[in-house]
Amino acid sequence: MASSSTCCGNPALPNPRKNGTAFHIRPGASNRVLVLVLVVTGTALAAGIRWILWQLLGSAVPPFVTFYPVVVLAALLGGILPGLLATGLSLGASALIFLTPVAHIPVAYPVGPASLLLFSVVGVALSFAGGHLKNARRREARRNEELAALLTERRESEQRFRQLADAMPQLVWTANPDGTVDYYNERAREFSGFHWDESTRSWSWEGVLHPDDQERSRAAWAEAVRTGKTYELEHRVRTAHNTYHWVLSRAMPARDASDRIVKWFGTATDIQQLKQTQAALDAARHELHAHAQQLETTVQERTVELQSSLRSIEDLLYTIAHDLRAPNRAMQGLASILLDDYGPVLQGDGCRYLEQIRRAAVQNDRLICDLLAYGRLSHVELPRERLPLGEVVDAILASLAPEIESRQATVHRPARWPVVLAARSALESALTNLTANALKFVAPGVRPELRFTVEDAAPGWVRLGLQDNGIGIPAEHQQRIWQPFSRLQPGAGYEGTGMGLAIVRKGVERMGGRVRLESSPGHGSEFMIELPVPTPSV
Amino acid sequence: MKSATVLYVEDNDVDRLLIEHACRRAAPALNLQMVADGESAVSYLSGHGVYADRAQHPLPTMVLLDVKLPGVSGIDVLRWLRAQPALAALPVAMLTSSFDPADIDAALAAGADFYLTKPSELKRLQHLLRVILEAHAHTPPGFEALAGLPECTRTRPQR
Repeated sequence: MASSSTCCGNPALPNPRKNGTAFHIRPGASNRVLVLVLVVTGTALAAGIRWILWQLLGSAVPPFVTFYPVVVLAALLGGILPGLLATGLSLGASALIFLTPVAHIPVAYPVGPASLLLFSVVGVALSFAGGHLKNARRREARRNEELAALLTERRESEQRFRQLADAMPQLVWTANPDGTVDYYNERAREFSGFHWDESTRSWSWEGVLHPDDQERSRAAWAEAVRTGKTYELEHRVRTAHNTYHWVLSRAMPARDASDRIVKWFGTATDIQQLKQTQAALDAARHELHAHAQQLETTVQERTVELQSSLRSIEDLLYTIAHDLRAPNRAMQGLASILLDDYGPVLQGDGCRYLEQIRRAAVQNDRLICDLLAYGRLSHVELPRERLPLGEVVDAILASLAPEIESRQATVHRPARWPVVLAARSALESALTNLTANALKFVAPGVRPELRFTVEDAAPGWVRLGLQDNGIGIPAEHQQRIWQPFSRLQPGAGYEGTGMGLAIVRKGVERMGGRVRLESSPGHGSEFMIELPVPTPSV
Repeated sequence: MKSATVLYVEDNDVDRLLIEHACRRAAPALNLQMVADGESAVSYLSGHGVYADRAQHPLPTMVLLDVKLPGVSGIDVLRWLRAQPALAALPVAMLTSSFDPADIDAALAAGADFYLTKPSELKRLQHLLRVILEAHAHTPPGFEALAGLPECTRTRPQR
């Protein structure tokens, strides 16, 4: 039996895994038996009724009148084959009952061959017609079931969407391609101003917006609907408590296979907290900026004031130094003249006293000059330049030539000198002080022996050393001697202001360099200055 | 040796006294002329009034000029001097006790050849005068040796 000729029982559920091309209705065996039984029973019943009718009415009844309904029913209920079966059985039954010589019943009204042929043709035709009708009905039923399943699925899907939408903390909405809003989730209750318009069967939402935001929101939505681009906007909406909250509204279109917009899905997220925080942050930032600016202004004003007072102090210092030096020069010069011209006529300790006046004046003058130099080194700008170290040292040795000569000192210089990055004035004053110290601080009767050395220090740095054969410096004083006014050697021959090494250190450090000392009493000292060398120019 | 005449412009009496003494001692061949203020310096150099007699007040071969002078300052004198065609090339060394960079810059800008600080020791002053005198041994006088003195703070850039 073909699969298409099943009976009207419950068709199995469509099985999408079974290739999915067509629905296969599996004919139940019990149904087939039932149809067979019905056909056989029906035919027997029809034959019986026909026999009774023949007994009662004789040949007035058409021979196959009771068999047609059986064929029709069989075809309608079971399809073509049961119809044909019914036709065949009917023919057989009629032959048994009415045809001679087969029939046992004497026939008064014989059934002619024409009548038999007619029934056969009509029976076959009815079977086919009934079968087609049945198939058509079954197809329709199947379609209806599919439709119902789709509807159910869609309802469930929609329900799931709504449950999901309601579970979200945001306002969720959907809109039609024309921009009319057809759905809001439960969150809509937390706002006031949404209104369902029965005439358009859509929600009106402008009432929920802050009056100042309505126009631009309407425009933005219209633009999004027109262009199909994402709608995104921050605006204020009225809450159920009649306060306005900032929300971020956002909507994206959903498109079908042909890229046509079928729906808009939108959300509105409450950003009130964010806005408040942002506002507070902006205010704080603004305040900070204002403070910073005020501070900057104050600093600038103070700097100008400070620079101005620094300048006046410096001017004052130069004036004081200038004016203080004149009496020193007078005392020193006049004492010298007295000593030279009138020494022989002075009695007793006169010459010694005059010499003390002269020395005091010289000392005082040096102190003024050193203080001025030290003070200046602390704040004056020291622009660094490329300086050939050898030339700087030579110039200093030349300026100290009388001292070198009078002390019969020996000076050793390296054959090669580097170029350093330094400020000329600061470097000169540092090297002058170091050289003068090396010449001065020797034991009585010792000829000073100075040795300049040059070696690479860290990469990009050079170390200039000055070794002497002087009296040396005890370890415990080696830190202190770099301080202003620190003098270790009182007494004749070692006069100084105590400012020399302080000037050296200040100058070198202001140029970015370092000073170092290695010394022990009786073994001389080595003072070292580390200076940067210029990076090779490209 | 050519006649060596130095005009020293200095308002401080003691400084004039000291240089006079140092000159007598160390460079007696030097004809040292002295004036005490800027106006007198201008008069001397122009040969006005008492300075008209060039036999007694010859035109100097070098000027030693203090910066801080009462009235017309040393810088003013220098500017005037450089504006005179006859004097524009006259060697001028500032001799002052001012370290003020503003003074140094102003002096160099006005046309000073050397900026010397006053030595505080008489011996150094004598040495300075000796160097000046020795410079006159050359024709024209070679004052370059001044640049090597510790008192020389700055030299005029080569013209």
